[in-house]
Amino acid sequence: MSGMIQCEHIVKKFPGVNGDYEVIKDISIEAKKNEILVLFGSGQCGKTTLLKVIAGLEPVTSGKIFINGKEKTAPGPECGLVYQTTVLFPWLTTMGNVEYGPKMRGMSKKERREKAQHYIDLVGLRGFEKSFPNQLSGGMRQRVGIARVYCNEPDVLLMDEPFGHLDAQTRYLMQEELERIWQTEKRTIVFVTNNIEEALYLADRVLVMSNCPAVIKKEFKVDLPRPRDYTSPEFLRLRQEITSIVDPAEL
Amino acid sequence: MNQNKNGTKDNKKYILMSICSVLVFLFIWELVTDVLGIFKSTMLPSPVKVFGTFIDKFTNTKPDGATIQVHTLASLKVALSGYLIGVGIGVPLGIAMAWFRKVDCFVTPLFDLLRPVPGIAWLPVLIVFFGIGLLSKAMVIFLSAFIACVINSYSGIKNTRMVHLWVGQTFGATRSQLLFKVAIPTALPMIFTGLKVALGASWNALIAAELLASTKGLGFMINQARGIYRPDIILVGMIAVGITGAILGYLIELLQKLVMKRGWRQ
Ligand SMILES: Nc1ncnc2c1ncn2[C@@H]1O[C@H](COP(=O)(O)OP(=O)(O)OP(=O)(O)O)[C@@H](O)[C@H]1O
Ligand SMILES: [Mg+2]
Repeated sequence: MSGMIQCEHIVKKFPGVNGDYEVIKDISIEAKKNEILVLFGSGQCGKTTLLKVIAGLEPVTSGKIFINGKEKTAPGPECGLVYQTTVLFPWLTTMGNVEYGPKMRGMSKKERREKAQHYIDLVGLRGFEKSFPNQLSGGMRQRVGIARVYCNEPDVLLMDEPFGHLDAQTRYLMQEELERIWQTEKRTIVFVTNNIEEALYLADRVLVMSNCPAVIKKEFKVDLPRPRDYTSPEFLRLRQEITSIVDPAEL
Repeated sequence: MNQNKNGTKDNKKYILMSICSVLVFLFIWELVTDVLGIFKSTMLPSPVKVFGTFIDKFTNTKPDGATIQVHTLASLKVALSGYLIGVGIGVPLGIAMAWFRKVDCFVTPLFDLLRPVPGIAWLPVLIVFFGIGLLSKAMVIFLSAFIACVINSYSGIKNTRMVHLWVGQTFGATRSQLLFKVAIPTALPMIFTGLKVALGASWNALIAAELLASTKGLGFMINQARGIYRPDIILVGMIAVGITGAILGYLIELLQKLVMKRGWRQ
């Protein structure tokens, strides 16, 4: 198997009072190693649910998921999640949060400190090791969130609208930062967003999701050179093309 | 900076006002007793008299057979032994009830039956079983502390955020690591609230128990003084109860500051 992620015909239904509520209706995804795959979809279309299913936090109703060739049935360190809102542990410092994963897996203190320091430097937070989350800005917290999953060395990074709650300025900055981080240390990333520019700025491929129950409507390969220019003609053309297939009524 | 200055200024004002209010209170008290004689000293002794008795009680064992230090220590011994056992059983039980579904189902109904009965209401039953010695009083304290600890630890653990558990799981944490490295840290502020409430409850229950049945301790001293019309000793006893309670509260506050670092605080 070549892909880092291989999802085959995933269906996800939640049991409800009026029968089952189908959120994901047959989605198949494949992602190559070190690729940034962007899932683009409108609000409430099942993006978070899909990531949770891939991470093993929700069981699939049917279908199969393979991460790095191994079937995924339970949550584990192969998949790291960066969440919509800050979910750092408020009682731990930046260092404490970043070294959390290695610590859980029993790595020695010296080794995990070194590793955590490396990723704290990578996301540009040197000097904030001893700060607690409530002393950091929103952008900095998401940086810690990114360092934290990097530090756990998962096969796949799942990012659920990580910049959705940031102001526009910080959001642009963080997109550039994520690209820089990924260029420095490549990983396989599945990035969920409802922002078309963000999708095109980061993606190797964009998968456009339909409304609930979700299917993949169309796939776009983004071959533009990095870092991308939001105003280049190709960028705008792709943006136009994707917008046109998303039904305005869905937004 | 400016704000800070204002802050300390306000603070000074506040302290000054507090001192004033205490002084006014003492002045009026002195006025209605020694000066104007509205209350007779057999009913309400003057602050000067109470202060004198307080100093005297450090060395004088009359009329209740022991100095105030001995009574305070006796009370503390009972209160703390009951309290520590209550904490030692209550906190783990509360955590277990919140974390393990089976424990929850099994224990919670029983606990809900127990909960509304104030600790002190158990005293008569306990005296029948164990007499009026240390054991029955320690049991009353135990029950009072135990209930507060269970309730607060339980809701503390229940406060654990789902996403934090997911984070733990995707980091490969085992079930017990989720408990010790996610849920208990989340619950810690509530657990400490429980410890504080329990301490207050223990101290209250102890004094109540001593007033009802005892042979030493501050409550006993107060009760003896009531019997022989020594209101000054009653007041001295009350002051000692208040001061000791405040010191205990301060100590636990200190412990919390040591254990819980910045991140927990807003
Ligand atoms: N545990 C659950 N039980 C029942 N229904 C659920 C559950 N989780 C999600 N849903 C439903 O699934 C649908 C999709 O939710 P999901 O959070 O995956 O969407 P989303 O695309 O991430 O939304 P958003 O843009 O707000 O992040 C919603 O209608 C939601 O009510
Ligand atoms: Mg979502």
